[in-house]
Amino acid sequence: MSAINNLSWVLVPGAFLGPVALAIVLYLMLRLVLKAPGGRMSAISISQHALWIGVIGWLASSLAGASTLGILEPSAGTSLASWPGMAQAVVWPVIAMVGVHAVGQFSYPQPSGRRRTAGLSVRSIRDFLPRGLAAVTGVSLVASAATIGWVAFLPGFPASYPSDGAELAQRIRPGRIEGADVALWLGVAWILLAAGTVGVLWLIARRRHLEALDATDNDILRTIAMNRLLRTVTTVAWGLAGIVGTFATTRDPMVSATGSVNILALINGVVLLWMWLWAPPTLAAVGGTSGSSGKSRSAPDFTAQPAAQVVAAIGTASPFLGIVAGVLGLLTVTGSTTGPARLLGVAGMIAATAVLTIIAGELLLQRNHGGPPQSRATQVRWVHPAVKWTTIAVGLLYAAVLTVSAVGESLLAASTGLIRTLAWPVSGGVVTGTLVLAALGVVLVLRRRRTSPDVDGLDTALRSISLHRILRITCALLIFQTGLLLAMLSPVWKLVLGLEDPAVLGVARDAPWQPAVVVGTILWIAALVLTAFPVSSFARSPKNTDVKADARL
Amino acid sequence: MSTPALSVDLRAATPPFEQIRLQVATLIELDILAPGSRLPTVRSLAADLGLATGTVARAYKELEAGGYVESRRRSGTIVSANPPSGLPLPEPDVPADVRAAVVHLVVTLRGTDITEECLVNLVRAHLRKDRPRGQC
Repeated sequence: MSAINNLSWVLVPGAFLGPVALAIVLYLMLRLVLKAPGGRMSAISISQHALWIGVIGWLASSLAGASTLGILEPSAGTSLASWPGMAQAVVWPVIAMVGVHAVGQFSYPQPSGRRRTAGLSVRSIRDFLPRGLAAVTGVSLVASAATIGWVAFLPGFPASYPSDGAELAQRIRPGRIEGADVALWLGVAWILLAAGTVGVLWLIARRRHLEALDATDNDILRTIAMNRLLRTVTTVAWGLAGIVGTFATTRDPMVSATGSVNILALINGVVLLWMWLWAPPTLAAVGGTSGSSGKSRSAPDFTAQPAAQVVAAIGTASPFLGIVAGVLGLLTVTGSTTGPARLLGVAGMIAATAVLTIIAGELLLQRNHGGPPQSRATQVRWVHPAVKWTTIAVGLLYAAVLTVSAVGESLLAASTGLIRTLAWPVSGGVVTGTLVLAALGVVLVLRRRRTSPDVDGLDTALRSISLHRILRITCALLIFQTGLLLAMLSPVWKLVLGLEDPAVLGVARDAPWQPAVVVGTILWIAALVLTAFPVSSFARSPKNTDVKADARL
Repeated sequence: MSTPALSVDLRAATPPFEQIRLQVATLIELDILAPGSRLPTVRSLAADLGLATGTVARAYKELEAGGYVESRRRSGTIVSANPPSGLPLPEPDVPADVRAAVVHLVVTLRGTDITEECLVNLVRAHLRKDRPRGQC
């Protein structure tokens, strides 16, 4: 009892402090994105900031973990049939999504210029609301509410077990709880979703005027933010309906021997694709049709240069080949390396293949477009400080998590006799291999001969792009491995932090420790987001702001 | 019609609240801000300009004292139905953005030592410079 009491003292503040800490981290990250090299906002950095908010909000809204809400599956390690489980599975993604968008609106800095301008009109939501999309969102929320109301009347039934124990794994029929319980938590999530949407729309309309944009672009930016919010809300609304569908199609074997098609889940999939294609408008300043503050200079167009085309091709080939390697890894790696070790190993294969592709591209660049041998460059001037320091910080974090995972599993094995997983050795191996390749790649980028002809700082831009690609892949791999180790070896952290008795862990080994799972999940999602972050915003050298790589590179 | 806008120069001799008061008063006198139209809330305008709410509140207070605006609990701050008339109204077909540019020019002038006559001569000189040959 005293252990449980001690745990509650840790968890209750942790349940509050965790989201607050994540919100602070998100706020700081978004502020960093806003400040283009030179420390000042630009139309491009503002546009990317808006994209980040949309992407992170969409990822945070995932209801994938709630798909079996209310289903009684005895073979599953976790249950979404209890009130705490259901609340966590459906309420937290909604709160997280709304929170991301709200934090995004608060992350814009105050004006800092000498001359400040402001419009004298009263802004309201209707002034910027995309009408068609808002109508679709409204219909989706109504439909979602209708399905939630319907599920409240569905009865529950217990899971059925076969009499022959030899066929246990194949013949367990899942049961489900009373529909009213499911409807309660889905309803809470729906209310939070609807109220949160209105609240964030209000914040967007009231958001302060940004001095880096003119009045027109300020209005367009509000419409862009509303577009991204409403698209995510629409997918969440249909996601809740999809959960209802899964619950409803779980049939009582005493009543019906066969299941039925989950139409709501199918609609959810179609809506997801539809929202993905519903693109927001573009800032006029970014599209180049009208200047905003007149501060951006026209950048030279590199796309016609053969060397630039090689680098552009590498940018396409690198992730593609990485994914191919990942798929091959998933298909071929089996046996003793299943489970977390398999995922960790495949992630390492993807990263290593991507880095190898960049290395091959640099060799090709030097061979076909390199200048004389005396034109080598050695100065590291093209890496954005934020990327460099983030990679170092993440590397240290990964090393700490890996060490704790190894020590924790050793303690577990020593005290309980349980077999250790291969997760942390595999992770350490693939990360070490990828780091070696990344170091080789960095040396090659720095030491290769200059491209010929070196037009308007082309060589500097191409090196910057390659360096940032390598660092971004390395950083993403480290964050992904850290997150996955935290999430999949979460029981180890309870032991290492002294929250559980080692002997007790032998019985509850498979019970995940939620704080570590949550943090780990956020980290590996952040890693996936990082892999999609465009390189062009960081392709400007901190000391050479005249050079700007084309966004297609 | 474009939205009327304010511009505040933090390094001008005129205090920010006075710049706000002058510009809003001029926009009202020139009928660019029509009677009954709502102004942004103190907090909203202060956030947009990056100023303290007290600065904007003082400007609104002085505008209300001068009869230009009225504060209402539910509607916020609105332009008075009968504001004080200042300069004679310009030609009705002058575009709003031109009027706004003139307002901005006048407000900027008030923060300097340049006389009206000097300003008029400056404008005339630029107009003559940009005029094509042979055009009166």
